[in-house]
Amino acid sequence: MLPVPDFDAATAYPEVGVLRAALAAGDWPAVRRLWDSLDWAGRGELAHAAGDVERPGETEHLVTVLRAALQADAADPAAGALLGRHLIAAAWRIRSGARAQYVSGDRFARFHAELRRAEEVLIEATARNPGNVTAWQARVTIARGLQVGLAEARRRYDKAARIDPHHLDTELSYQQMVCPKWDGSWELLHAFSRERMLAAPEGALNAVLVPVAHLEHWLELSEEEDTAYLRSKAVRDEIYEAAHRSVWHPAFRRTIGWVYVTNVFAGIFSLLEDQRAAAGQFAALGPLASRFPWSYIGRDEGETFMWRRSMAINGAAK
Amino acid sequence: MRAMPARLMEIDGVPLLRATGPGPARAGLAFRAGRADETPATAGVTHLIEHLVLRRLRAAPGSCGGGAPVLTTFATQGTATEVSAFLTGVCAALADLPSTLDDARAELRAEAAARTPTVFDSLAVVRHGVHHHGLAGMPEWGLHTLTADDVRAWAAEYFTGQNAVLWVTGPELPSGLRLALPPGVRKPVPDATTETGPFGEFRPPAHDTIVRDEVQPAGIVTAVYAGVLERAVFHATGRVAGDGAHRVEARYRPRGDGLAAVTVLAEVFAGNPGPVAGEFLDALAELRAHPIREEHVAAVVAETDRTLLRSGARLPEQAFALLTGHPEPPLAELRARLRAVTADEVGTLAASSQAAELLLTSWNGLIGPSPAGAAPVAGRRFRSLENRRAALTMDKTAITRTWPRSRPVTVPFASAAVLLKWPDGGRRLIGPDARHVDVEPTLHETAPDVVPAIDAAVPADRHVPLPAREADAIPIPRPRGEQAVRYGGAGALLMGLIAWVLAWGSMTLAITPGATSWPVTLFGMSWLSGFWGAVRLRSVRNTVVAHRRMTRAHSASGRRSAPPGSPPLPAKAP
Repeated sequence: MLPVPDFDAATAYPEVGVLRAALAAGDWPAVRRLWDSLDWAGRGELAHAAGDVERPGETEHLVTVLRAALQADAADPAAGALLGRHLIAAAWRIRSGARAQYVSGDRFARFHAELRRAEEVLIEATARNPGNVTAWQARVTIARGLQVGLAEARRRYDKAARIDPHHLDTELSYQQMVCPKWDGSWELLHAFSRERMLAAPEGALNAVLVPVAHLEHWLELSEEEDTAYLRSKAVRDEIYEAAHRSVWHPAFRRTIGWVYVTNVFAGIFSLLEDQRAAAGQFAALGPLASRFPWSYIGRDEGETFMWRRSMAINGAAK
Repeated sequence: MRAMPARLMEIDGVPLLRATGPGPARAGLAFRAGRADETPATAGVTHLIEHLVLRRLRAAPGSCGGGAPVLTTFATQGTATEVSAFLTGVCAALADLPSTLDDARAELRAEAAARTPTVFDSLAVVRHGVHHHGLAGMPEWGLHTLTADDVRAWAAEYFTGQNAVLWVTGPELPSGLRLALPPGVRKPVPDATTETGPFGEFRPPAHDTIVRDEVQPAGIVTAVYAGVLERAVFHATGRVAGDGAHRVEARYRPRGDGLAAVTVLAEVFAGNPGPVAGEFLDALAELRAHPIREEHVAAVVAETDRTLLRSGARLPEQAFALLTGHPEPPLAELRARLRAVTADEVGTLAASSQAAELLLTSWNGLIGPSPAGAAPVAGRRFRSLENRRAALTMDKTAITRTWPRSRPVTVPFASAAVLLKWPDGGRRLIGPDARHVDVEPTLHETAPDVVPAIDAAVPADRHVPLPAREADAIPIPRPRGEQAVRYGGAGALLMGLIAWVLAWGSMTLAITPGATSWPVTLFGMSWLSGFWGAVRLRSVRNTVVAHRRMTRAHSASGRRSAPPGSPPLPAKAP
């Protein structure tokens, strides 16, 4: 019996569980100890977790704890970054995941107003700690939501990159901005993705930018064109090159972010109908699932994950 | 010029500020009167008086008039005898204002038409609304209807001996100089403490602009703070803007009520203003968050000190201070205080900068739109002849204008600030929030009783009658089918291109940070009016931008599907 996909980040990364427990207890010193013990990738994961808090009651409690921490120390890097990221996530939930033409004007106004509230917190956070990569990464996302243009998003990206030149979260945020659906183009998207892959050390997670870019491109194409695009020799070659630089590289490590990366390769191998390669990624994952890329591939992430996994295992066995 | 300390004497009850020194005599007769004292219906009367007086003194070379929102100065330079004659002439002209105003009116209209509006015009309205200091950003509506009697009455109230200060530098004036001004009282500076804005929309004249305007106690520390702001913002924005692509300016402007506006702005001449705005806001946050750097304060203090020395005995500034009731110390004391300004003092101002802050941009994005005004009313609805989804809606209390993709604007009749009236029936109602509703009978299916009903509902003291418009200034409806052209991409792009070319032609401004402006813009006059002209282009552009935004694809993606990585609607089934 194959395991049911588990989307909870805490299953893969115990740090997330520690954060939740400390926040629930209002134990700020514990949050700070955890924050201080992690690298920027780990802190980014904490920020994701703060963004995922969305249940009524839990949201208010989280905001109260974070605001109190800022009250006690306006320069607290963890409190500013986590609060900013939480407010951004809340803003995006107002907007809903729908494309712009389906979002009403009033929702847009509220979405933008909430993003500006988050920006206030994060401007303060980056002013106090110019090296706060997590806060800058969040500000790249805000630049996208407020549509302030590619140049301003790049400025924010550069501030983060100066501290951590291979911060995958920041690269993924900026990568969205260079998609044609925001302010970029296919040329910009693929060039950026490839450039960041090659800049990172071999075996690093960053090569995932390349398959993500192809998934973005694939999603925009019509059903007649998309499969042909993905299976063209040029695109295939790039995807395999990316796999060889990351998930198939001997230096690849299961550091924070690996679950997302492995899910992306499982998904794109499945779309390429390379079931053997996909099965390898699913086997590495076990139950560990991320929403992306399954949200792009199917209507329900869990069902899509399981369907694609069974296809991979059956295909690989043939 | 090495100036002697100013001494305070009087001539015919008018305080005299005096500094001796070499060179020609310079003098200014300053009155505590300006645009901020006017009302919409009398807007321009002070300026009109200034022109009437100077027209009488046409022969006096090197003379001029000038006004800040609370001050009007008649100034000249020349031999002691010439200066003396000028001052006598000003008083005589004020006592004998002409009974026909037409030539002066025409002069002022021409001046208004030729004048290029500045960022500060729009800022005045956004900060203060449609009264007091805000009128400095509005047209001089009163020019058209003020009578000779109105003008004389205004002069009798404001251009009096008790409301004046004379300053003279250079050689002694001939003895026996008389200032024959009527008696009166010192007029208090209009109270602007409740005018915190934002009112209406920020509409800088030409370029993408980001502004931060704050209110601080007037004084030399605040002047230094403005200089520090300019340095910090210039340094930060210089990192992202190419040479010549932008301009940074900070101004310290005492209002005369013990407070000062401290304004810092960046105008972006070419390219995307986003990174400049980003660095601008980050620089302000850094100033709040960290101790002010000593070397910045020292540099600004040195620069300000040089300006103080160049300005001689600062008699115009002292006249301003005296007339507004906040005298400033003698130059030597002022310089000593300046040199004692510490980074901590400046930091205290920076830390409190958000208390009465206005952050404005000419585009929506980092900074949100200004708050919505009064709630729309339901009632009789009059459809636009131009756009089937546009209309005016009116009940007994207010009128609302709706236009697709725009926020509705509502002006309550009882609290309307201004009702502009044209003889052809056109009306413009300006609300207390500085937003307006145009009622053009030619553009709406209005009933005949609508305009009289509005006139009756708006209190009479807000009415501003205007002369008949030229035939081509009365709007005519465009057939509905032409809307696409009027607001569509091609037309707006062309207008944008024309504006850009015009802007480029006048773009030789220096971008080095200049000296902080000093209180009295004596020779830099700020009579305004071309403000509304700039508005149209901006509104067309905003419409196009809004349209593009609404239609652009918007999915957000990222690590998790949960926000901020939320995916688009599920596109492809397994």
